[in-house]
Amino acid sequence: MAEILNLEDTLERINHDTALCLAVLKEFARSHRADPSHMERLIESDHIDEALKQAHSMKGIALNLGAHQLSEAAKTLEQALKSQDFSQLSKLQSEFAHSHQLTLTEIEKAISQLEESQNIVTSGSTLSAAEIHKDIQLAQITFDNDYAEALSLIEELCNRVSAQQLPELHQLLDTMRIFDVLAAKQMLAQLVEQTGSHS
Amino acid sequence: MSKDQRPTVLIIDDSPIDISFLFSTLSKTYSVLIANNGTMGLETAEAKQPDVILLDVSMPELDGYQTCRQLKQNPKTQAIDVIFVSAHDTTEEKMSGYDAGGSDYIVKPASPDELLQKVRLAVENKKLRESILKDKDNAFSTAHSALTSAGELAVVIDFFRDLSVVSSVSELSNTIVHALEKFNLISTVKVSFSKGDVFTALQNPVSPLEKEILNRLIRDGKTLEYENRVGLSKGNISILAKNMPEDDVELHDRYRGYITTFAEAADRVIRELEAEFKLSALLSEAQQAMVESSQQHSNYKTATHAIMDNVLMDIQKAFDDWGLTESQEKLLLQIVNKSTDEFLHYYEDSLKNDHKMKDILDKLCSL
Repeated sequence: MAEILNLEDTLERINHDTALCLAVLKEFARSHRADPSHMERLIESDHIDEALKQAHSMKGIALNLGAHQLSEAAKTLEQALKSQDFSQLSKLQSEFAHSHQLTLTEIEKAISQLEESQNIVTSGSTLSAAEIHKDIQLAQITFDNDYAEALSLIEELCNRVSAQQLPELHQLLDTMRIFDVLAAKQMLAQLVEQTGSHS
Repeated sequence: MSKDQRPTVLIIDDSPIDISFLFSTLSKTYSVLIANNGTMGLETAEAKQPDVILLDVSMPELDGYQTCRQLKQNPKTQAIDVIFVSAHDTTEEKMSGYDAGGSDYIVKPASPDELLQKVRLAVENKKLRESILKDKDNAFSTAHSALTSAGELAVVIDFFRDLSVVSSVSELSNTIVHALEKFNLISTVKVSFSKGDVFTALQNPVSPLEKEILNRLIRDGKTLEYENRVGLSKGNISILAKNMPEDDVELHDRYRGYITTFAEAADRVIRELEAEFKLSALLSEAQQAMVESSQQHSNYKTATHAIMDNVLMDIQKAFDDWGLTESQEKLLLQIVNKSTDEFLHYYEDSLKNDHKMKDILDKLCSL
């Protein structure tokens, strides 16, 4: 039986960036929780192509996460759907759902573990409102040319400005860590405006 | 390299989880841009002109292949290398990626080393391509004037004439590529040779995906025809023509015929080059063996003389102890001298044979 979740392997391939790893695991727990029931609905309503795409997509995501058992289950289901072999479909769906549940449980454990180990202590801001505004402006300028650099600037800023002091900044960081580009861009623009009016 | 000078990679992927793994590996070395779907990817690519695009295959609405085709149809983005990233790992999927215009393919989960290597290679290819493109206009005008003045038959005759003086594998592959260029065909050629394979392309460096397709053409011996591409192999030669005429069926068929002819003729030449190479290696080995054998003979002759001289001296010394008559001594010496002469005679004969062999080898080498 393949491994349920290899967190070490995941961390290794994400350059031991614990914060990003945490964001990835949370994103899985948030966006993919209902995947088995969604898959079931697609198959029941005969949307085989869509089900095939979902199984394929889950196979890739699980491979990246180091969730080998789930990846195997998704792969077997994908193959059955692709070859239109529906004889074992119900059994394969159950196996997929079971592996998904086991993975989700392991991911939730990993989230708690990583959150504890991170033990983030954000010092009170040593920056003036004008300095915060300037840094956010810089991130906005950088955003369109280098997302990585913009993310790094926002991460640094979040280390110096607490979530209590500027919750929108920390929400922006969370959004940037799940790579929702349009939402992040919009939030960044709002933050520039918001901090500009206070500085 | 300062951050401003870093090459830029655009990741087009709808899954934040999949993006995270690519992003964490690349962000230390490259500037990274993100697009969450194909449409956003097309806009970002046109506006930001990244050096490389990493493109997920399975995306809703505009999938990776469709996105890539649109990138390749847009003059502003067609020169950007596209690397597909997918959990599909079949040959058919890789071929689809190539047909869509991709230059490489990464199977999930990509290891950081593999990802960095492929992106680095694509960035280097881009730099090389940019330098080659500077001369592109000149090359095309030369090819165009050659075509108008010569005609198709002249191109074929020229090809065979050039082929007759080819003396190396790289010269052979260049001859094919340039002959096809005279038909305005952009091609990539692989020549399999025992000393190492040679890949040659007209304009750009040969992409890893092209190499894989050329390898598979030789391995499977199949002909590939897809849209305006034709790929075929004959023996040790595989040719991929990338801009076959689409509207003129007759011209398309004629060009395919020329490609087949070129591949067959080139395969005969590569077999000759291979045989020549093997013969030359064999001759050089035989010459070396002959030199060593002559040296051994010479050593042997010197040693034999010394041994025989010692034997004679020992016999002469023994005469004093044995108390032989003068005639007995003379007879014994005659017997020993006769045997020595016979032995040396046979030795000289074998030396003559060696010289004859050496002459033959020298003549073979001079051919």
